[in-house]
Amino acid sequence: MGNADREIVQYLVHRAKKGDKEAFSRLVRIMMKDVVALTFRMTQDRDSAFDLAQETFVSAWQSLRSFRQEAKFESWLYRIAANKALNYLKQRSRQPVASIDSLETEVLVSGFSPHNPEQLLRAKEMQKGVLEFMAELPDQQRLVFDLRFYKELTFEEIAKITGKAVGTVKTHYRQAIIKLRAFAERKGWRP
Amino acid sequence: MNCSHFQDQMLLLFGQKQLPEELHDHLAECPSCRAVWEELTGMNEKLGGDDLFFPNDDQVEQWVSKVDTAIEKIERDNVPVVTRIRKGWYERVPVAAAAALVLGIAIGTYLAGRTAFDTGGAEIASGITGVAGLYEGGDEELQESTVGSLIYDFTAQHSYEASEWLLDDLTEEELDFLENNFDIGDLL
Repeated sequence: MGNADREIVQYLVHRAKKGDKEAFSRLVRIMMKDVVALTFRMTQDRDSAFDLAQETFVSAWQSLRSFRQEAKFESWLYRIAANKALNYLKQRSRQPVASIDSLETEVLVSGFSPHNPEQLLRAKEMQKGVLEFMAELPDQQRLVFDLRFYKELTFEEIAKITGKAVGTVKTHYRQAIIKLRAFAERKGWRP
Repeated sequence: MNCSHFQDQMLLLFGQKQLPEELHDHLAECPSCRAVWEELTGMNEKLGGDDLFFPNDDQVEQWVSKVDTAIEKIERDNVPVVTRIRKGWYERVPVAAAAALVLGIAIGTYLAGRTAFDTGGAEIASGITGVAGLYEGGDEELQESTVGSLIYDFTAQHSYEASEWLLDDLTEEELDFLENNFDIGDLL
């Protein structure tokens, strides 16, 4: 998020905290893609990703008054989304795990892609690879990897979001990258 | 620092655009560490960026509108108790009746020494009158909405939703009063 966007978000948060629903709706519009991308990579399920994103924003609205504006709004939002995704995964773990075949179908029908056919094909392949790798990570490692690699947060910010010590977060990330190297070896990603 | 330290550091720096100067200098003179870094950079490209997983604009609009609707519903469900109290005296009658009922049951239960009606009921009832006392001579509207919301929560079989916003509005002194006089955790 650029500085200009951050200023707009700050202003909208300020308005929304005073009960301005229109401002909150604009916030949702700005942040929806970020939140869905996180919940999709975490759950690997399109419908659940949107459901969890919706729940995230509704919870954010309900507890917006407790948000302190010195913190980053997106980090606060990610914390809500992360908790919802982890709870969802915990519940889902009691059910059978989806196979890679169904995962592929999930990506193909998801609509998480550009419209140009060539780009579309390439994006689908990349998505499939990423989701396949992330499916191998335990939930906490997956979350830390996501927040660090895709959301570009610092380890300190991730520690606050996950409620873990910075050292633990670093261990999760280190382990995720070690697994990524092994995955890349198997997939022939390595040069 | 040796290569194993730098290579460990590289794992943590995976995905970062800028490297610390000392690692940068080390890579310039160490082929084996440079090979590891190049391998990591190669994997980096296979993972794409956050936007690879962004939904399209139509999907965003559709879900923004679903969030708006959900929030509207929450607001509708939460607001009536307060607005009803503020609208006119005739609309306060059901609230007053509910208050009388709650207090009557609480006092009756207390006098009879029965345990079927939990003691929380008596605590809440005394809390309600206590909170009302806090505002005596003060803001009448706030006093009414405070009492009304607590009664609403209590009569709604301990759902307590209205009290969440209410507690947000209370001062520390008022919160202290509530904490000292009945179980706030139960209320929430």
